[in-house]
Amino acid sequence: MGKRKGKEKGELLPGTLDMLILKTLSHRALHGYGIAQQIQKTSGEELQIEEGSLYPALQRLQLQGWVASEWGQSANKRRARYYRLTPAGRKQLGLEVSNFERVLAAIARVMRTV
Amino acid sequence: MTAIKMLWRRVRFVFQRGRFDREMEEEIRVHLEMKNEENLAAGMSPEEARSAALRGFGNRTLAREQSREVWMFRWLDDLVQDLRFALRSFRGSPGFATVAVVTLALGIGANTAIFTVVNAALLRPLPYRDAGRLAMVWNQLLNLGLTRFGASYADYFDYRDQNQVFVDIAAFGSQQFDLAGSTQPERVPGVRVSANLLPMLGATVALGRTFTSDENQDGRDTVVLLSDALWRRRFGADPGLIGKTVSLDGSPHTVVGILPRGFRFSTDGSDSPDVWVPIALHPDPNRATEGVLRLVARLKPGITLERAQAEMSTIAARLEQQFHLYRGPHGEDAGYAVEVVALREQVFGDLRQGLLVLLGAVGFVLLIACANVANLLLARAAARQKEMAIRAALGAGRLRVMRQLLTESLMLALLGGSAGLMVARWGLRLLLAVSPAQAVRLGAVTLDSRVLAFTLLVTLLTGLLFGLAPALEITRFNLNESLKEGGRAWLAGVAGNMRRHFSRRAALVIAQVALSMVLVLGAALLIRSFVKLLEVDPGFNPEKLVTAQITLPQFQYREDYQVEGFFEQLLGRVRALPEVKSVAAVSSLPLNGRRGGDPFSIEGRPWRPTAAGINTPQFMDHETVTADYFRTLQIPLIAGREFTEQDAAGSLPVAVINQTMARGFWPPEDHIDPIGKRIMPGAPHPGAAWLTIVGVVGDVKSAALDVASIPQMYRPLGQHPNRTMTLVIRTSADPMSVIAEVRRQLSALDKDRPLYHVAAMKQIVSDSVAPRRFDLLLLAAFAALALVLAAVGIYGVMSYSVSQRTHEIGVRLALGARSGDVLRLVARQGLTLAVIGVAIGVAALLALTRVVAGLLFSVRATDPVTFVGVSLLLGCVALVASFVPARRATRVDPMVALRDE
Repeated sequence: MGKRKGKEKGELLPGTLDMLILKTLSHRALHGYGIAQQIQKTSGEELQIEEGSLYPALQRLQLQGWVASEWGQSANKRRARYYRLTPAGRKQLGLEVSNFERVLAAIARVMRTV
Repeated sequence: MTAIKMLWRRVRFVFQRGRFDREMEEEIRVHLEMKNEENLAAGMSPEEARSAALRGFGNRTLAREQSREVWMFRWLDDLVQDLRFALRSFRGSPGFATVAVVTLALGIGANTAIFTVVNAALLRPLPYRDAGRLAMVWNQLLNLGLTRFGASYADYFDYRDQNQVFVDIAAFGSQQFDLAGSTQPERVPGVRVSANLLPMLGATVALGRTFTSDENQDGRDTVVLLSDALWRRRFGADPGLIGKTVSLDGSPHTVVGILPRGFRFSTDGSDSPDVWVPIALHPDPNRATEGVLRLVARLKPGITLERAQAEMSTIAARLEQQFHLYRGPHGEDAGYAVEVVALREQVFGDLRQGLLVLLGAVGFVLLIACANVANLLLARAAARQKEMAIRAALGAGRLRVMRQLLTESLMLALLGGSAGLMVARWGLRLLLAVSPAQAVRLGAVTLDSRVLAFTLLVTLLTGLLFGLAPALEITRFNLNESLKEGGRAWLAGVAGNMRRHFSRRAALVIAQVALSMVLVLGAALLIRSFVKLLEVDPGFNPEKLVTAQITLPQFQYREDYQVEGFFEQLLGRVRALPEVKSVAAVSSLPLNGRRGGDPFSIEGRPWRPTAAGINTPQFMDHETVTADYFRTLQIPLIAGREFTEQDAAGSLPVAVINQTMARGFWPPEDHIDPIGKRIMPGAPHPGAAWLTIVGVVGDVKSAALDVASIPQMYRPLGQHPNRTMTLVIRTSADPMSVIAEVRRQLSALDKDRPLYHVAAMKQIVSDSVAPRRFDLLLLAAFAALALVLAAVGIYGVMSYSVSQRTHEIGVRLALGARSGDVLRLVARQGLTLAVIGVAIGVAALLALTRVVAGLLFSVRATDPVTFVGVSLLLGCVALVASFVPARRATRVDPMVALRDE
């Protein structure tokens, strides 16, 4: 596969992909491609995710019961699988966001002091 | 809660896997299409748009795999995958799979069948309440060599009332009864019991009631319980029978109950009783009822058998002191003691050794089968080197490959085990059909859960056993290296591996030959024993001889002259029948299995001292016969005369003795003629008549063919009447054909007397060796199976070796070797393996001599003829098994073999 060139695009922090997906789905149900697009767009093209890796993540979230899926029609009449947040997923998102913020704040504090 | 939900989702996934894969595929395709469209819209060329979409997505296979993996139980999925793969590979080589499964099915099936019998006889509790705590209490007179004989009434009361170790002791005594009524009279097995026996066994009645304790008294004992079988067969399962009377030995008994269906009670392998009658127990201060009662006891909770034995020994010693029990006439100590035996040991103890030997033998068969399958797997392994190398190259770890191989083995084993269960069911039916009736005492021999568990365990162990070695073998080879280094090196590696293979397979073959050698040797020794047994002269001529028993009840035939008169009349009537050449009667037939004897005295001699220095009586077997007995059985007269009609009640009391007795007590070197000497049954006591010996006849095997003749004395019916007599009828035609006419004659004399135990003498002889024949048949069958399996093993290894040496053989042939040389070359290799195996097998059997010796008759466990013969047999088998591959080797075309390189 070879190495990715440089780091001009931001790589995801490990473990944050699940949270990003949950967050993205918190507004509305989306298909896989839609999720990828949305994350890229809202991050100002800063976060580049390998689209293929979305799918295992989506399976993990379904297994946990945080995301549910069903087949539906896309805007241009394609059959696509739509993922939506379950109530348990919404709770989990809250948990992960607060956790993430705490960690981020802690990292920021360390970076300022040293 | 979430964990359970997750588990549930995973399980659902297992069943929707196909759909999941399809949907995943579609989802990714849609994803790529959408991206593609967007790229096109952004103005890329079609090729650019497509490759950008693919690039952005990354590795599609990986995405699919990882998505799927989220849902999987990794191990379960691997397992399913392994199983699918195993099935596919079996389908790919159906010959291999069939041979392996059939081999295993035979091995596992034989083991299951034998274990089922072992389970029924040695493991499953007897069919009584808390049967593990039941024991029998026996008297013994150690100094007279008498063990396990019955107690007297007085002994029973003493044991019952003085012990602290048993909850209770019950008494019983087997007895047969003439059951008379509207239809033909018949002789039925019965038992007289104390009222507490059935409750002690935990048995209830299906109908009516059991006995009350006051029915164990004279005059109150004319009540009877019937077995379900008799009730159905003879009384049409009539519930109104309760309260009615039936005639037992000519006296009316009131039926008070019917025992439950299938309830059986037998402590010595005899028929389970059909009629149960109370014993009339009475005080017996002189212990005149010695030997009558058998005692069953239930241990108190927490009391061990050893503790009970100690207590009973103490009681016996005390009674001996107090009453001088079982002393000789001059106070000789007979060695009176009491033995406590667990009921299971009592019922099945004599079967244990035979069963364990058989279990060991089938175990050997299974080991041989395992070796064969391992051999097959090793051969396959060689062929699969490349497949394994590729798997390893694709990243399968050694453990993963091993697991795959072991899954295959276990699957083979499970297939073999399932087929084995069918073999076992079928084999068991066959087994029970040929088994002597007594092997199936007290209940059904069935495939219960314990047997199934045993089979499963054996199956899994088998799978591991034959699978592990090949799995280790294959995966040991450094697959990655061999692939990388290119074709030549890889081939060299494989060749090295194959040499190792051969030595490993050779070791397996040696083990197989050794194991089958032990089995075949064992079987051969049994066969030789059996042949010798059949050659034993029973002392009489069993051809065209039929026997039938009659018992005259005391109730109707009170006086001796009545008994004698009845039999004289009957014999006279039978003698007049056209097909009857001669007829006589005897109190018990030869080959009756009894090994005991009665003490007797010789006039003018003290009771003979034994080695132990204690005066003990001489022992003899003691029969009552009618005048023509010796002539009818064709027992030769050695000296003196036979009985005549004149040896009657009033005349001189006489006896005829057998040769063993004559030689034993009047040795030829003493030159004293036993004729005219006088003897007396029991201790010499004044008032009793001495019997004058008037003749000496040849020995007959009174107990069994394999038991040495014991001293025997015969007395004439007129002087020593017996109520139970067996007719022996020598006929000119088919012996069984006269029986109907004999029945008619008997019925004319007394219509309530059944003729029972009707059997041709040849049948009696044959039945007497039935247990041996049973062991023999099984062991021979196992040995034959072992031999075939071993032959297959040798054949397989030699074929393999030949195929590996094709090139070498080609060179030899090209250089002018003749086909005979090649044949010798290959055969020698096979024979070498066989010889090593035979040597190991001989050594193993010599180590097992002690186990084997107990099953043999007049053949030593180290019998050289058998050893040499069997060794030659195995050598021949090995030779034949290597001959076929050897022949193939001679047909190698040198050109083809050389071009192969």
